Amino acid sequence: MDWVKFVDSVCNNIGPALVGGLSKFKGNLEKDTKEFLEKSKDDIENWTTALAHGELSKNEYETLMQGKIDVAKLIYLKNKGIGKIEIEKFTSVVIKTVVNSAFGLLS
Amino acid sequence: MKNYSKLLVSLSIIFLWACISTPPYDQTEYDRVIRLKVKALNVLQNATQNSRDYITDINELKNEMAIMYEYAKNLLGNDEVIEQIEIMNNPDGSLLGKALKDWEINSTLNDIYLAGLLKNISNGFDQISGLISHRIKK
Repeated sequence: MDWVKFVDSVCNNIGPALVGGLSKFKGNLEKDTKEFLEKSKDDIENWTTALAHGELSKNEYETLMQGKIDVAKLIYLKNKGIGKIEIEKFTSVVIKTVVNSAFGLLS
Repeated sequence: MKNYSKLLVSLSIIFLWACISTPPYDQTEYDRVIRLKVKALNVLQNATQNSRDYITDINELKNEMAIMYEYAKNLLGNDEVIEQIEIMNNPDGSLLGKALKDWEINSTLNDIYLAGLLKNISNGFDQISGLISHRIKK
């Protein structure tokens, strides 16, 4: 499988595929698509080769690729949740510091 | 003095909001996710064989998936984990729920497809446990 040709083909075809409400995602599309493909390169190469050899059906191939996207969603949700936890930790430290300072001034 | 009181009240409100915005670390939730990951991968490793021979394991797994989801739903502010579990369990998605559905429908899964599913599922579970383990112990 020619990886460079494959990435070019995906990038060339994904833009026109996003129409209507989806067109707002075109901003960083090529960069994001290339990043996603590079991170998943080994799996995508293996699965695409298996598809070409008839060892994977089109549905199976689509499910595995969708799996990559779903894992990316799980990573996004993890980072979102961790962001909230970090805010909570930060808020807690600020509050403790401010309260201690306030009581220090009052006493 | 009045200003200090206002400041303390405001800070207390912010602190209370922060406390309920994310649940504290929950050992039971973490254990459930890890146990489910191990069990799911162990059971699914047999998916190249007929699903009828593993129907008890499959049903037990589905039951544990449902228990994990119900447990997560009852923790306040647990939105991200709940959404993660929904993605993992969805039979029309691409991870654990889908793997079990395909296995039952097709009786067996081919080894290349199964290897890909196992990799995605394992990686997916790591994202769920990764979020839970980050939580603050209170």
